[in-house]
Amino acid sequence: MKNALNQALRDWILAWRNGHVAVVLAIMVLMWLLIFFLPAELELSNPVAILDASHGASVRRAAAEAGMDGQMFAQDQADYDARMAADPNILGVSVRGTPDALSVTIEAGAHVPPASVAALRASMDAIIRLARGQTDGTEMETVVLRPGSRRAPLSLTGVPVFLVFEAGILGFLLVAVFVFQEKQEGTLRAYRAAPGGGAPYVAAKLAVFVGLSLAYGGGVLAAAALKGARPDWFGALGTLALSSAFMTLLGLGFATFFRNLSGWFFPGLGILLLNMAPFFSYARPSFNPAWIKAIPSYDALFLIRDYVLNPGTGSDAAAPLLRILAWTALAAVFCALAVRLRLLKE
Amino acid sequence: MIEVRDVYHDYEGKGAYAVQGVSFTIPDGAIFGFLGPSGAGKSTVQGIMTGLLRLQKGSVRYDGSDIGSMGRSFFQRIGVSFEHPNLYGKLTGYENLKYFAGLFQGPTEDPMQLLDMVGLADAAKRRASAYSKGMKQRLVFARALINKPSILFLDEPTSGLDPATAERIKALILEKRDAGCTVFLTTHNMLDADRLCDTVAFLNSGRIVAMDSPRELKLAYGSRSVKVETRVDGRIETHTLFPAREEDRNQLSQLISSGTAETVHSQEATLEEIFIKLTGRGLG
Repeated sequence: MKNALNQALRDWILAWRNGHVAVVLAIMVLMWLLIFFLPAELELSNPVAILDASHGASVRRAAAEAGMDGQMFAQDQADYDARMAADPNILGVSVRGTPDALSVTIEAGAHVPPASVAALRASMDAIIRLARGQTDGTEMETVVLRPGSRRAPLSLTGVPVFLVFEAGILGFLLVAVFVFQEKQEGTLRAYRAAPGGGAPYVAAKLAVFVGLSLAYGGGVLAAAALKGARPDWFGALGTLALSSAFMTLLGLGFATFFRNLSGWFFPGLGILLLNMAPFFSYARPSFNPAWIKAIPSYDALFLIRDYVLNPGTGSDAAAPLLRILAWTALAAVFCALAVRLRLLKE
Repeated sequence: MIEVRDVYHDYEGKGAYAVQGVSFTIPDGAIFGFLGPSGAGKSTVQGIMTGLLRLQKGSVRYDGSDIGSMGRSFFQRIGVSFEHPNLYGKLTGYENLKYFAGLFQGPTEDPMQLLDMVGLADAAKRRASAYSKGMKQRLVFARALINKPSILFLDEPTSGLDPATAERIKALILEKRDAGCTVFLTTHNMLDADRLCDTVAFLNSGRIVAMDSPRELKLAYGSRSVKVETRVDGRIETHTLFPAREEDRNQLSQLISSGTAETVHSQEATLEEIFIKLTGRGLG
């Protein structure tokens, strides 16, 4: 224990003097800026301009009845033309004729996704039927799943991403930097001629990088709380600690296979990118193939999302937590073997 | 006592041995010098003896116990000073020693006292990366002493040091020996070896080619003659005399008493000359 604490103290001093702590603080400040200054929503769909030149403005009235945003409607042809000229991504709809014989023209740039055009066509079709008084009696109902959860603003939606992936990079990359520095300085050779051993060496690195991740995570969560989130601190930081431990152990074991950072760079970057792949599922929840779900950061990301954005909504944390624990245990075995059989044998 | 028996080591496993059939014994409290040029296999043998290299063939025993059976407790007993200073550059000299002291169980030396002993007390709070090569070498030497080792492995401990500091380090090595520490000294500095070692072994191309005390080696391989330079009528004349022969002894007395002898040198061979004689190569 004394040995591991002694090594952890050394690693903290080195982390400070290598500037790693400063880097973590700088990233945390950057995340604060994102949390405080990102808008609540980003307009992701194409804007629409509608010119209703039909007799009696029947389409505009039907649209208002259906709850459409009245801002989409141009005042006149000149206004419509001005809107179309101002934005290359805009979708234009001009409606002419009487309610019984309406003529609809949709204008779209070549780079506007066909799905956006199709959605607009379907919407216009429904509004025109409404304008003609043609309803088929179909009742549409919206059921809110997990009603306790609430839609988070964009700035807070990013918090789980900021936490999980940054902590992963911290553990995986910076622990490799430590190992290569020790290799380059030859201090590992001196360490091998002393009774330090493999386990305290790993434990010290783990303490430093999990500690750094928790300090970073605490700072980011505090910013999220100031912005209105009510996170489950224990759950979020506990999951973050596990996730960071996994990446640190994996990174330490992985670094033993390389002589220096330049040899490590591309394979290491590959692993880091793979670890970040669940971001796509997070941004587009419909995209969640089995291989992405198998990446440990997937479980960590969605667990932390629940702990930060929807605490206490009853989602089952046991299964993903067990999976992360299992991955961490595997990484610990890999790391222990790699340190003992490679790093301390070179 | 350290017993090394018939040690072989092949780095690539292709039958090209870096050391082969190396055997020697070091009694407790002795300084054993391992001499040879670069690439002779000195560091390989030291690596095997310190457990940094796996023992492939042969045996290394400490007080009768095989090195393979000693585990981590073995490292409690030894101190290792490396030829190339391997320090945490971002830690101060004091922090380097303090950290290594924390790796050992049991009593350790006071880092400040050690720094003072090697003349680094004033630089204790400076980062090791700012040290000169000689200062780093001294810090590595001090680190080797931090756990009060009973066996010291020193690889070129005076390399890069100015003469005064080198003398200080040599005096410390002799002090350790006198206190009962066994010292395994790897060097290619024959003068250091001559001054410090109780026994020296010459290593060439992975094999020991001669091993004895420096004095015995010099007696065995020196010519036991005396060179006298005299000045007669302004000319320098050189006489090589063999004290074992009566007429030479008489001539030596005559030259000295006549006052013509300007210099007298014993023709004792140096360790370097003996090494060249034995191996046909120098130590550089």
